[in-house]
This record gives sequence, structure tokens and C-alpha cells, in this order.
Amino acid sequence: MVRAFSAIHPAVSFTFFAFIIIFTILFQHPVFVGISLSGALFLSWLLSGGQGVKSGVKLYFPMFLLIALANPLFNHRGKTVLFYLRDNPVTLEAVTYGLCMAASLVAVALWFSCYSKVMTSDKFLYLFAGFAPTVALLITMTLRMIPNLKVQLKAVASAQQAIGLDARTGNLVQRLRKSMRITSILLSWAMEDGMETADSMKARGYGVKNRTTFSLFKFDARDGVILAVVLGLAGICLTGYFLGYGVMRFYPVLAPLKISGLALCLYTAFGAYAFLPVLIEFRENLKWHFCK
Amino acid sequence: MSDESEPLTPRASTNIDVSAGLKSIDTNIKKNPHTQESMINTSRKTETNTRLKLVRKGLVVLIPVLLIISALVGNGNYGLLSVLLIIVTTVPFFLRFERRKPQARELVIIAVMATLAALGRVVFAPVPDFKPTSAIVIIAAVAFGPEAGFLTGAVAAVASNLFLGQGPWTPWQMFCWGMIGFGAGMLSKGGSKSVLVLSIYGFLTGFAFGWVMNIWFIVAFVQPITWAAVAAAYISSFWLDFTNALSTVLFILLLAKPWLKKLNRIKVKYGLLE
Repeated sequence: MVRAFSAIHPAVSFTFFAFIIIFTILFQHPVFVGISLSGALFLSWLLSGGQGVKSGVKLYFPMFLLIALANPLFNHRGKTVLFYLRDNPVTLEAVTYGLCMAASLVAVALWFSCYSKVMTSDKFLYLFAGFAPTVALLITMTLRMIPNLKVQLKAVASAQQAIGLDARTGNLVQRLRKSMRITSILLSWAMEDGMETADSMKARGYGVKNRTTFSLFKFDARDGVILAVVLGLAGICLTGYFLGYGVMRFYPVLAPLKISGLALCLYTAFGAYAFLPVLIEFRENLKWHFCK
Repeated sequence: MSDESEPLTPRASTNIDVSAGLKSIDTNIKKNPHTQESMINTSRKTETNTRLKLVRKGLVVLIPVLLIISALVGNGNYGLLSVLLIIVTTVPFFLRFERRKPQARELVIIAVMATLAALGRVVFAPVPDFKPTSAIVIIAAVAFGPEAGFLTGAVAAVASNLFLGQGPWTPWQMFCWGMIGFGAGMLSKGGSKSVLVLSIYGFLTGFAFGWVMNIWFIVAFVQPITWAAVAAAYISSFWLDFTNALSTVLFILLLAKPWLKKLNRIKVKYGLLE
């Protein structure tokens, strides 16, 4: 359970996630992708424990395989031929590129899942209420309605079962007809319930001028420091990218890894960036441990 | 039945256009509501309009700027560029909706339809590409117009990806489903609302959805991009696209009539006729 990282100001954590996701897409380089992936895995382990990581792996492994396999099958560029598949060469370069892309994609997906854990809908609404209040509200309402309708779907289905219209029995046509009945009931219920919500919103003054929003978020000195660190490290990484350190040449032959001083600095900076939430968390834990 | 969704006076209806309606803090309005309110509102309105104009100009400039940066830095990584371009393309739709200051009822209707579309996608997730989402988006568009159709599709994509995995493909899916909704809305506005026309539209967009998403796949994950690789991607996705098209037709045939009837009833009951 992450407390320290979730407690920082939404604007800061949003900036952090925006940059890390952009970097993960931008840097097509095994070292950067590896760092980003491990950072994302570590954070998602902190956020949701071993069970969360396990379900994440289950969700993203097929995607990883698809991308990793697709590239060497579609692309035959590269000089080092590993073997031939139906007269088409499968090259080491294409395999490496596929693996790198797949890892980067999974890293992005993991960062997104961490994002949705940290940036809860109240934070999202807070951030976008100034910029696009209606759209932010629309998205938040939809997210709230999904579990709501799921519960109602179960209620409708069991009520139908109770009056002898169990959608799981009968032949295909009968089942289909009963399922249609359930969706139809659900639609009516959702609409009627929605109208009540809308009237209730209106009664409480939705859209009336001079309404203020209340939020618990306060931008304090610690947030300022973290934001400065985030922007500083991001600046270093971006500079490195524009100097050509962020990408590795895959074709026609794999380029050797750059290990000059500057490259090492860049790897360290990116590592610090990717593990920033984890570091914040550990610092907080240590503080708690020793100040108890 | 009195129509509660309409503003009480015409004055109120023009006053709704306050950009930061949720955030504005004004204290001295009570004294003379008529003159001061309208004064503040016109000043705010112009402020909002200039801001929107700036955004609009920014959007127009942004696309070539992005392309130029990408060409200069150019290393064949178009994934991020494509995502940014797609986001820029969808922003105007949201801005328009934002500027219109929609009523609570409009919001709720779009949220309900988007929820149903997203739920349908999540429920049918185990069967690849077999989903009622497009069909529900099309039905929403036919019942409530192109704008509602676009928003239903776009929001359904975001919401369902919260369960199926958010990623850089989310803006692409928002664009695809949004456009399916927008097109369906335009189609029904043009007068063709029959189930047959909608089914044909659903079948075609089922393929179009897959074809646009293929572009994303190729741009982001295939390097170097060759005609052979493009052809391979399109050929290998054929059956998935076909499943998508077929499921859309199937769900339109099943849902269009009863759901449109219900939605029309709701429209009449709550006075939502435009």
C-alpha cells in the first residue's frame, strides 16, 4: 500500500506519469526499456502487492508475445539470420527489436495501470475541472456508473430467474430472448435512474454560476521539491534523447551499447526518474521506522 | 408535464456559458442580479471565446509543428507522434461540447450509453473482437445525434480500457469509436435510420475500425515499414475485423429496434426532443 507517493499533489504525480509514459514510448533502447519496465513492476508491486503484479502479468503477457512474435515474422531485415521459417529469414535484429518493443509496450501499460491506481477519479476531476469541467465530469460519471450497472445487472438477472426466466436455461433462441429482456430492462432502469441523478444535480445547482469546488489538495513545499526533481530529471533525459542517446540502432546489425560517461549519466538519471516513486516510498518508510 | 430540463428564462440560457462555471468565485453578485450578472457574463464570455480561439489556433499550428519536430529528430519512431496527432484531432469535439455547457440530463444520457457500451466490451472481452460496443455507440448516435454519438464512443473507449488495460492505443480507440458514433449520427440525421442501413454501416465500420487500428499497430511496432509488412498486418487481421463487423451487425439486428424504441420513449417522457 503506497501512502507517500499517493499523497503528493495530483499535478506533480500527473507530470511524473506523463513524462515516464512519453519516455517509455520514445526511448527504443534495451537499457531504458529495461529500467522503465522494472520501475513500473516495482511500483505496481508496491501499489497492489504480489497478487496485482500476477494479474498484470496474466493480462499483458499475451500482448507481449503478440508484439514480440509479430515483428520477426513481418520483418526480415537484419544481417544475422537465426533460422528460416518457410523460406523467410528470421533475424536476430528483428527478434531483438520485437522484444524491445514488446517490453516497452508492457511497461507503458503497467505505468498506465499504476497511474489509474494513484490518480483516483477525484484527483482527475480536480486537475481537469479547471480546464474541461464538463468532459471531466462526464468521464467520472461513466466510471461511477459501470460498477453501479454491474450490480443492477445482477439484481435484474436474479429477479428474472426468480420469476422463471433464467437466462442460463433453455435453447439458444430462448436464452437469447431472455438475455435481450434483461438488457432491455437494464437500459430502462439506467435511463430512469440517470434522469433522477440529473434532476438531483440540477436541484443542487449544477451549472449555476458562482459555484466553487472544494478539494483537499494543497501544493506544499515537499510537492515543490518533488516537482523540481521530476522536471530536472525529465529535462536531462530529454536532452539525452535529442543528443541521440535514447535510441539504439537495430538494423542492419545491432549497435553496441553505448557506455561512455555521458551515456552512463543518462542511464542513472533515467533510473532515478523511473524509481522516483519507489524512492519516495522507501524514504517515507525509513522515516516512519526510525522516528516511531 | 412541465419541462424541467429547459432553463426558466431566456436570460438564464445565455448565462450558462461560463467557462469556469464550477470554479468561479464571485461575491458581489446578489446586489443587482440583472445588470451585474450580464456584465460579468459578457466579460467572461469574451474571455472564454478568446481562450477557445487561442486553443483552436494552437491546434491548427500544432500538427505541422509536431510533424516538423518528428522529421528533424526522425528515427522512424512514429508511435508517439501518431498518438499526439490523434489526440489533437479529437480535442475539437470535446471543446465544442465543453463550450456548449450541456444540461445535466444530456451528460447523464451520454454517460449511461457510454457505460453500456463499455460494459458490453468488458463482458465480451474473452471472445476476441466480438463485442456490442460499436452497435451500442451507433444506437446512441441514432437516438441522440452525432455529437452524443462521438462522445459515447470516445468515453466508452476510455472507460472500458480502465478494465482491459489503458495504453497509447486508448486515444486511437477513442477516435475510432467516436468517429463511428459521429458518422452514425450524421447518417440518421440525413434520414436513413432503417435497421438495414444501420447494419450495413455497422458492417463497414467494423472493418474500418480494425483497419484504422492496424495503422496504429504498424506505425508503432513495425520497423522498417514496408509494403509487405503492411500487407501482412492487414491480411492477418482480416478474421478479427470480420468478427468485429459481424458482431456489430448481429447486435444491431438484436438491439436497434427495442433499444431505439425505449430511448425514444425516454426522450418523449422527459422532453429531450431537440
